[in-house]
Amino acid sequence: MRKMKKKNETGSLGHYFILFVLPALVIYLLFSILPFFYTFIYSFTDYSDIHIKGLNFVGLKNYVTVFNTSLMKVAIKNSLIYAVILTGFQVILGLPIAAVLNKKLKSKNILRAVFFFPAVFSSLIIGYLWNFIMSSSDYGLINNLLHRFGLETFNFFTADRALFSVIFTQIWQWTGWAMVIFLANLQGISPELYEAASIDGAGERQQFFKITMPLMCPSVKIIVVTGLIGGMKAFDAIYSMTSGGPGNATETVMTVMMKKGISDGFYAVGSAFGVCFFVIVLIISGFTNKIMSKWSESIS
Amino acid sequence: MRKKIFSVILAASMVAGLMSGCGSTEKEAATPSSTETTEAAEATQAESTTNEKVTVRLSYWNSEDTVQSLLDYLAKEVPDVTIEYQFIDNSNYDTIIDTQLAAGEGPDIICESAGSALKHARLGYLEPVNDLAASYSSAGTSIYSYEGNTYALPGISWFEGIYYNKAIFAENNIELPKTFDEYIAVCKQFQELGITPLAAGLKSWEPMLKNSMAFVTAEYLSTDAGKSFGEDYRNGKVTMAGTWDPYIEKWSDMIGEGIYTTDMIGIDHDQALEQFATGDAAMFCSGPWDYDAIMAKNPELQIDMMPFYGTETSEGWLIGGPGCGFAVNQSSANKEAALKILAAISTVEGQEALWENNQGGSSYLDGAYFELPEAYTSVATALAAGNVYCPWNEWGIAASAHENYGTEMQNYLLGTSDINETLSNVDAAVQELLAK
Repeated sequence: MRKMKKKNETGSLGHYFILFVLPALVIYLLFSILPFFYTFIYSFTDYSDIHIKGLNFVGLKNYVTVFNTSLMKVAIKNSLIYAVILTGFQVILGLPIAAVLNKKLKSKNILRAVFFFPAVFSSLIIGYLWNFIMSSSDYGLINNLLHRFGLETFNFFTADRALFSVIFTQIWQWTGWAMVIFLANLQGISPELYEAASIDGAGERQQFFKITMPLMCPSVKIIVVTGLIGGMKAFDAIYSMTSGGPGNATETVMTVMMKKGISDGFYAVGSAFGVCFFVIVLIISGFTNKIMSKWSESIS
Repeated sequence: MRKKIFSVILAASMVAGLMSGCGSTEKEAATPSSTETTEAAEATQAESTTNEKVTVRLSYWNSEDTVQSLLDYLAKEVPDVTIEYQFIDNSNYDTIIDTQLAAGEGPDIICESAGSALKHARLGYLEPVNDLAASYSSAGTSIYSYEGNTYALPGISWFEGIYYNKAIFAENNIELPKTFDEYIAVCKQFQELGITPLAAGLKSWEPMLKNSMAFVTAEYLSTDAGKSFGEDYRNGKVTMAGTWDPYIEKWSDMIGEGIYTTDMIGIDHDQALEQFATGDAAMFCSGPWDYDAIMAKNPELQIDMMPFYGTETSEGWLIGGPGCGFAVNQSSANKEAALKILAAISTVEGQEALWENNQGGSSYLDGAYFELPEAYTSVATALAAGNVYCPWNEWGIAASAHENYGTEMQNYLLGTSDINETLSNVDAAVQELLAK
């Protein structure tokens, strides 16, 4: 009887446990670890669609190419701008919206649904939708309205504006998602803290900055880390709205990796670019984690 | 205990399933081409003695309905071979085919673009088809030739010209232009009448690529001075910068006269098509593949197509070339059957069947001529003169750099680079690809 009880306890499955872990472990090794390992190896070779067999070691040549190719530098810069602005606005807009919709409003449920609704759709769909809304032609909703009021066409897709136009649509889509995470965090904050604060004479503004904000650290950390990493990997919204254009104005790490590394067959250079990208994301994640940890420590 | 056994079996079967999915069969693992060639010959012998049906796989980036008549014809004409049609989306086509061929596998018959055919020929993935190629015109086969052999047979050609709204031209008493300068003048007439002369979705890199290259073709590439440019370019003997500058400078009237505008960068292909189809613009550059979409939006529309012109009076030029080249996989176990299919395609009847779903294009096979649909009356002389040319088809393995040309032209339109910088950037992309 005692033996049966022991078997049902978590972590006491012994060798038997390995059998359950094995399928997931094999998939993870085959489709994540092994490809990354190969990517790293290939980044030091002359692997391309023309050089498939008998690969030669070329040292850091591919890494030098990555840092000497203006397109790749533009892609890294655009990805960073995209990730930082999108994440920043998700927090700046998502937090106050969540705070407002956490209050006792009659319309709070419908408003929560409205704000969250865009996040339900694929970024591709949202991209194609905004593509029509922002079109310079008469079929574009915004420009059609401008023309009706006798105003000039506003081109959302010039070299200077295109990236920010795409970012705007993504802020519109993903702020609601951040709001939901913030709401979950807000609902976990004890109401007694607010009662005590109001007894001590703290106004709503003070309560927000002195109680709500510090205790929102866990959800902000989730949004910032996932937002930055997701933003750095931006592809679908860019693909559907600009395909990296006009010119190379909206090229991101992923679109360049697709074009150079896969379509043009520069597999080794693409691999080196992938490894560089991995290091950049690692640094950003580490840096963000450190800042967030300091914030957590200061609160506690 | 029973639960424990069941769990162990379940976990073991999952692992086994995974392994079998990732593995390959003994037949698939046999990769050396020489061994396979022998096996193929044996298989073919066996096949002919037993009269068993052989299945060959044909891969193409267009959906099955675009070659349905051909497939029906082949089923009738080559009854001992069954074709397994494999559609692979254009955006992933080259990557998938490259990977399959590198693994010594892949389809038996591959539809190749000019660039990928040369790449695969250079890697030894394709079987020479010189005998069959002899019945095609060299305009169709030259782009698939590598070191004296031809590796693919040209399909029905594609072409792009300028669709125009016949009613708008007639209502405003505007004559069709015959030179580039007349074309600019016609556009200005439309502008003065408050009509958008040309609908263009410049969010895509394609329209300016084709429009400007058509002009360079008429002015330079089709002349004695420019005829060897493509070959010299792929051999690294010439550059675009310093050669094409005066032609692009002249073509820039399209931008200077406000026919191509920066606002068009915010319009995509479908929106431009809509603008033309609904009568909001007089002209639209495209090819037969958009005809149905245009007519579906406005069945009353009367359209025709005119060619692109240079500064001198001529029949005009169209941008185009073989839609796809049919090639045989060197590692195919059914090489004989695949060649049999290619032989059936290389007949007038085969070309007719291929043309059936690609009307508007023409055949490169000797003796195969088709009547042009009414919507292409004004390009009949250009087609009859053989004035259909695709400059980047000549760039060998650097053909994919035509996309760089298109994006660089967007930069030029937006004023972020001048002509020389634009062309130099294309040269750099081409040289990078050639140096692979």
